[in-house]
Amino acid sequence: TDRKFSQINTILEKTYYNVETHSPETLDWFNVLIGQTIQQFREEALQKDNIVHSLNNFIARKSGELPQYLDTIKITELDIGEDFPILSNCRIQYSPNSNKQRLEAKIDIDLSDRLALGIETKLLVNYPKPFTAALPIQLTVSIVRFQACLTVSLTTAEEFVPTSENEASYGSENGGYFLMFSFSPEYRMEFDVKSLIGARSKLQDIPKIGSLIESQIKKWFVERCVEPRFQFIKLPSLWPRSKNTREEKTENDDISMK
Amino acid sequence: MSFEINWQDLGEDEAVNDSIKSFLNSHLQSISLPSYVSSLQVTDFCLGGIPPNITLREISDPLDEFYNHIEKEELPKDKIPEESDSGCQSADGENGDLLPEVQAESDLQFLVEVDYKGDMRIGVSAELALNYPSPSFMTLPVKLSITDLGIHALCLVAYISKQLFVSFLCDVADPILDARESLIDLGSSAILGKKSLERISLIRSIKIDSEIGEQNNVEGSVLRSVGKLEQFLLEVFRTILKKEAAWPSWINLDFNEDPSGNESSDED
Repeated sequence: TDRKFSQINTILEKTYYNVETHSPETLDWFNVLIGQTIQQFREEALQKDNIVHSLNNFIARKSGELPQYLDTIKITELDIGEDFPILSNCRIQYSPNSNKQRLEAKIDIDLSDRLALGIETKLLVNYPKPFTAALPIQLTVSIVRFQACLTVSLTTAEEFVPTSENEASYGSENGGYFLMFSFSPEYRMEFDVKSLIGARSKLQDIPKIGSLIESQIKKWFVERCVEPRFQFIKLPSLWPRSKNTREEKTENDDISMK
Repeated sequence: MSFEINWQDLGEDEAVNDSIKSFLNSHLQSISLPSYVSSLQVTDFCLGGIPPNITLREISDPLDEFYNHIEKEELPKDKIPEESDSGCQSADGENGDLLPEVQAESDLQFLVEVDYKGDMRIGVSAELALNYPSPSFMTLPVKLSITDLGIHALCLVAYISKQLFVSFLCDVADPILDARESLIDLGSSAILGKKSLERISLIRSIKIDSEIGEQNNVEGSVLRSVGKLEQFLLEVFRTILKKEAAWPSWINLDFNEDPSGNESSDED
């Protein structure tokens, strides 16, 4: 363990980074690359209608697992946004509670956008008989603001345990490096929930429905990627291989193809 | 109307009609009968073909009273394993600490307006005792039919950890509604409970017809008693609704233990 400590110190020394005095960096270059990636993802999604399809497929696959009080779910709106997350204020620090044996990057993240999902379903009353009554529900849930402090580090698998039993096999293949990231608990996630409930006489935008949805989404989020939980993703090998080698198309190639 | 109601299947369903019939009968058993009635029984029940009109008025968190009820229910259950373990382990304080937090974000309460003017029929058979000229001079079988039930009331429906609570609050024309914007604000429940006598009856209309043997139809004394019986029955049904399903009482359906829905009522 002392070895690890001195390893980390050597790295810091030889990369000219003093965790006490180094000033935070902007990540402007990284924002541009992330923005490009997201842009491409959005274009693909729009062109092929990918997300709606995969979501509808997902819902169709999971329809047996839906609670009995919900009718089939139909997606009515999908907005994948048009802005990009802005990362800033990046600094390297020792991971708290790691006894100076692990380094991590802390990055502020801010996103102002509209990411929306609209669905239509029915609340079913199954008493005294199945489908005795149904209450139509139209919902549009949008995330309009997300602000958080992101922690990123590279590590090996040995120090960590999966949070659910069935993922145990994934953890056992512990060779290689993992990217772990997590958000600090003081995150800010703002929602805009629109609801329309009822058949002919409708109730609109009930606060209780909004808070119900918000708490479900936040629960999902907190259980996966808010400290002390974090996401743990195996990194692919970056060793140069011939099967990963490409070169730019030249004009000659285009002509010969014709 | 906010709810789409699939009434065709329900109104003619034998199991549903039978369970309501036995619910009514179990409550008729506990009623003390006047001297001129010697037995009272629901012989048939039919929900009919016309559904109630149900309009959603508000959605909110459930009232505290429902949580209090659940906490009270859960206490004895927690004590059972402790008693079987050993007699010397006993601490009510510890038990209190172990109580699960019953309140969950997913709990919901609907305030609905129920407008019913359907063709529900209740058939009742009774034995009429003729106390003239001497006590229990004669008993006559009487058939009564109850129809034209009309209700237009506000009703709370709360769903808390697989338990459903249904409670009628008051008639939609009740003056108690004039003063407030929202019915489910704090304190309103208490007011509703205390002033129950001043409130408008939940049953707006009800019609009771009686049928007795034809040879007695001309006899004035017999008809008078039947009129009394009709009045009595009317009171019985008003009381059942008020005592079992109207605030501060409610019908509690627990889907935790019994998947078919165990009907039990509660009075605080």
